[in-house]
Amino acid sequence: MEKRKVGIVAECVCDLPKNLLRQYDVDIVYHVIETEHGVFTDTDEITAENILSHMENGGLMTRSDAPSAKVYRETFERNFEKYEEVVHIAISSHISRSVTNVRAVIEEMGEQGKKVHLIDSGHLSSGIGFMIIRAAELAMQGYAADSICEKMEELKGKISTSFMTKNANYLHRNGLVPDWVKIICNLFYIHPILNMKNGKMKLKGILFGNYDRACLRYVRRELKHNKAIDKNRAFITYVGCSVKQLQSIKEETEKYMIFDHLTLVEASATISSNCGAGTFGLIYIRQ
Amino acid sequence: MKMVVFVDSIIRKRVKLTGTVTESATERDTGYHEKIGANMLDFLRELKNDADETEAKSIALVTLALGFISLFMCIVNISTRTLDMSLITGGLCIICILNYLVYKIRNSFTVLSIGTLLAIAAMMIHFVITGGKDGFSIVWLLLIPPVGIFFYKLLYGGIFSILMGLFLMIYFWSPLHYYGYAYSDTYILRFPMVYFFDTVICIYINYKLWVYRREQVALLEMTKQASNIKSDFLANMSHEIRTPMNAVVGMCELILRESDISETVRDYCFNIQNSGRSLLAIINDILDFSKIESGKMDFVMEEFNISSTLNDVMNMAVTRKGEKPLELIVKADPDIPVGLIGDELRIRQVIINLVTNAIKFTNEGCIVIRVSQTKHDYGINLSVSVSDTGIGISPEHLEKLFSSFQQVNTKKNREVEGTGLGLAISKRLITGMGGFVNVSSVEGEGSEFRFVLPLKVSNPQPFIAIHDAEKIHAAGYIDMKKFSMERVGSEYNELIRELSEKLGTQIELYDSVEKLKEAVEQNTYTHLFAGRQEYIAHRYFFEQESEKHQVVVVQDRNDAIDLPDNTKCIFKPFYALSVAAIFNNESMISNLNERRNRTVRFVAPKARVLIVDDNMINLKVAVGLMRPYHMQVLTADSGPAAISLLRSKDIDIVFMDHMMPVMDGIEATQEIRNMEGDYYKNLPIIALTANAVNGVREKYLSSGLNDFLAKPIELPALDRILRTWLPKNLMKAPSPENEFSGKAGDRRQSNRAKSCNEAANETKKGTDNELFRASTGVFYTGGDEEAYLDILKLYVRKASEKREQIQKLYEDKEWKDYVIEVHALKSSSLSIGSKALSEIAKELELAGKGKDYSVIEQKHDRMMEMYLKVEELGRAYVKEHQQNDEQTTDSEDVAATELSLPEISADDLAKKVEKIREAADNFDGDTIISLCEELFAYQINGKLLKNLFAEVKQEAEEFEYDSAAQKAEKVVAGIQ
Repeated sequence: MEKRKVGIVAECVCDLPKNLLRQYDVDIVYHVIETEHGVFTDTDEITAENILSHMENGGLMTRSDAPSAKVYRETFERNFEKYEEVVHIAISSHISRSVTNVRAVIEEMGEQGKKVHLIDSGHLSSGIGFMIIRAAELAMQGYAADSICEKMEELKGKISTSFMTKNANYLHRNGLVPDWVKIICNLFYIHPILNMKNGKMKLKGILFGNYDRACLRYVRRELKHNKAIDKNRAFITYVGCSVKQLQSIKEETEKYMIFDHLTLVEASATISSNCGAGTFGLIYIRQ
Repeated sequence: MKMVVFVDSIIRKRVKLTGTVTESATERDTGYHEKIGANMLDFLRELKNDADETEAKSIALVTLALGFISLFMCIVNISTRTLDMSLITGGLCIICILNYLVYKIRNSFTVLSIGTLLAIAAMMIHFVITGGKDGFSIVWLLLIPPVGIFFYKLLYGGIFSILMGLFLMIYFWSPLHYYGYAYSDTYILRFPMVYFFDTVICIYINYKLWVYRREQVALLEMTKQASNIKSDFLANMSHEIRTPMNAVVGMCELILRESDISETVRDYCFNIQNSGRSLLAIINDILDFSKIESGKMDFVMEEFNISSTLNDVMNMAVTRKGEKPLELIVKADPDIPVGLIGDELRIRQVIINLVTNAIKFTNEGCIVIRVSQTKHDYGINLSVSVSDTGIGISPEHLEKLFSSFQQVNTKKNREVEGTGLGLAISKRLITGMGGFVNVSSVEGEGSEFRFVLPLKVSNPQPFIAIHDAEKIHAAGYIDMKKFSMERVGSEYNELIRELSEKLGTQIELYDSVEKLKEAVEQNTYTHLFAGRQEYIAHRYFFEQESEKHQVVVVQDRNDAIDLPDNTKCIFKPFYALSVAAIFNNESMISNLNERRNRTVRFVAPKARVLIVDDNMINLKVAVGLMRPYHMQVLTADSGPAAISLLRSKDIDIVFMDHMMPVMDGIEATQEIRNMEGDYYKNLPIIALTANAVNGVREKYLSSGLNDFLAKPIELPALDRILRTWLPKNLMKAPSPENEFSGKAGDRRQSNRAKSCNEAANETKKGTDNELFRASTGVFYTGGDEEAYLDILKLYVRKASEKREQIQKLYEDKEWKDYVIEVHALKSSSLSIGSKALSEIAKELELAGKGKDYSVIEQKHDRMMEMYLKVEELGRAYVKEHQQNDEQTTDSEDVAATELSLPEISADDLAKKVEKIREAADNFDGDTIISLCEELFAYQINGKLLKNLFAEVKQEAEEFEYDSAAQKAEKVVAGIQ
């Protein structure tokens, strides 16, 4: 069988639905989550609901980890059977050691490693998803790996990856904020909005009051100046939101902007374990 | 992964890389409404705990705030050069902050409250005396009762407010006020009164709140009690349901141990046993529900083999599937280790739950069960997924799918029965064992339930292995068009591909016979697989091919066809284990179900076991299960009987039933432990009970019992107990001569054990006559030999009379009555073990019903001859057994059970005999028989009343009431 030019490898934290992954023929490597009982593969063995429910019930999540070098290597080798070169789009190096692991694997693989093109996405969740879709489209169009990498660098800055968390409980649980910040957030019904900027996650703003209304305000805030937004595709990526909540968020989004493809997708367990139930993000590309 | 969070002035900036180990807080989230599956009791309890915690925290915050306000006031006073106020506010600030620190260090609410209140009181008193800024500001004191009582509750807040009121009263209404600020007369007169009014209102409101809260607490208690009552009820129910189930499952185990039963009977029996086990598992589910809810579920981690679990699941699934046009497709990874450590019962229960659920909600298509693994340092993650082509679940319903007592989409599924507990229990069981359950579904297309469970490995060898796999080259033929859904075909294709890959063999699948024929011509195959329909449609081809290759037909159990000798059959579901058995040329029966032909790993002929149970059937089952170990089994039907036996006999291990009348198992154990001597302290006593609810295990262990064996007794569990608790020097490897030897050891065997061995011997010999087989009779009477003997006696006694009656009806050509009598003969003959007589009687009955009298005329004499012969054989059997009984009775070696029978006083005996006389006078045979049976349970002056009153009972059974009474009176006279 003749090999195709470029294959795309992504991580499960890209939060793309299965049908899109199949459609664009994207191979996935899975992060792992370790509890007090064992080690579980994200998505395949453990879902967002699972890890949240486990932690709600007093269970421990000792750590989440990037795929091991062995897993990366096996995946790349598998892809070299079908493709001449592989482009791997990794989660931001500021928040995961995926990039470090892949770099180590590339070195280990020697000559073959040179055919693996690593892109530090500088994003997480569906923010990476956008890059993967674009990269896969370019690969299908016959672009070389180097050109795809260049295009991805251009695209990076245009993607808006932001999330609104319900409270600061999970940030506190994971040691990211002190006790008193959590108390104040709960006391005043503060919902932090976090945004990816230069590969790091920063506070974009805060919303007060009732959570359901805050969700709608967040959507309004994001889509207020919608002229600069690419109408082709957007993701509503969520963690532990009810069907009713999602419905109202979707309706609110469509009030301000009709996207050609508006995809609702549940975040992976790794992402969910860091932000908690009730988190959702409206992720899109600026023109 | 860690997110980097930068929250200007609020959130501390941190950068963490994924993979850095972080301690996660175990603090519970207060978003109760989000909590999945929280039960009401836990919810209320947490609510109360949180309320208490919040109170303490809020007071601590008030103290801290007061400290800072005082500090602020102190700074203001210093700047205005008000020295005394600066000292007071400064002091107050120090007290408040110290108090807060003491609270943080010691976490003492009392210290915090008293400290803060004293500080406030000091400040208030000073404030009143100095008059504040202009005297008017003391109206702020009116805030003390509401604020004080709100934060410090009635006890501290109320007392504090009243004390402050008393101070105001004393100060304002006495000459003391002349020394302080010059308040106006209106203040002096009215302020204490207004303050008291304020205090009373606040106390009243808070008292009402306190009462309301107490009521809430009482309600919580009531809920707890109701829950306990429910648990008790379930405990009793468990005993009531499990006891008969014990008999069913146990008897099946005994039947499966018999060597001379046909494979069909073995199969049926195995299915009965399996279903019984599953029913027990369901009962356990319900019983364990409260345990799961309270998080106290105990998991028994034992070694198990996944093949056994899968077979149990398959048997249950096939039974549940029934006639539904569904294909069960099982994809099991052959590399799963053969020895896993986990709670097999629970894992099986969850898989059965998921499969049963899939079958319930799927009307056509397929159900795919996938069992796979991922390897880890600690063992494996076992993944099981069950997907179906059923009705699916909408996203709204998915949200509440794992809630208790909920069946989703009930309007659509009215015909589907179920407790609604299955999925909730499954989820809790899996999470309890450290795993996770997931579901995905598309409405109208189907659902997939899957779970993953981390398990340790005791034996890493793969659970399926093919000898000389590389030599296997098989072809399969399934006509995919016969399936109503495309998915079924694609699943089968995938299954074959996986089998081929994982088993290391070469298997090809064809969907038309033409392609198969072509392939057969071109290749050399070792095996040809075909579906039932495909085989029937091309029988000639397959019969021809069976000369060259091994032809295997895959068919359903319930409509299986007969196949030529050289053609093998495997029952659906078609999966790795059954295919491997064919490739390895192994018998399916022995390969698939290790339990069916299980053999013991040791014997202990010198070991003495005492089984204590008030239920005769349970005793029989237990004795039967111990038989392969060739131990000397003694039995007792009560606690006192067991104790008296232990005084006279050396026993190596005791199995003690829990629920017995007069003295239960725990009391009896305590009594034994209190007996003098180390022997009684160290004697292993194992709780034997059907009661498997909360905390029972702990209760047993704390009551002096050494271990716990749940009824129905499972052989692996019994094996484990015996291996753990029997002295090692008594155990030895089994040898062929041990089999059914009857000479269990150098000590005397118990009667019951002996009778079991005799029954086995008799079964072996088959009574040398196909006309009469006692073992069949014992089987039909539920395994109770005594009951069988009674039935046989009655049969033999009535035989000549019946024969005459049938003969007369035949001669008179009274066909209607003849048919009735022959019908009765058919069933009674079968129940005493004469299948041949039963069959000929059935033939004549049918002939009579069909008015085909020529058949009756032809075969009547033959039947009567057989009847006579059966009567003779039966009589001989009864005689032989009665002699055995007598010999046993006369011997000093009387049964331990009987020796331990309680003594009856002469007066009581006389009273019973008087009742027998009365009953005889009233021609009440039943009462005489029941009185005799009551007396059988006693002895007098070392003589067993069973022997003395046997004749009395026999007379009553033969309607000789007067003679029965006379014999009873003779017995009494003899004793006196």
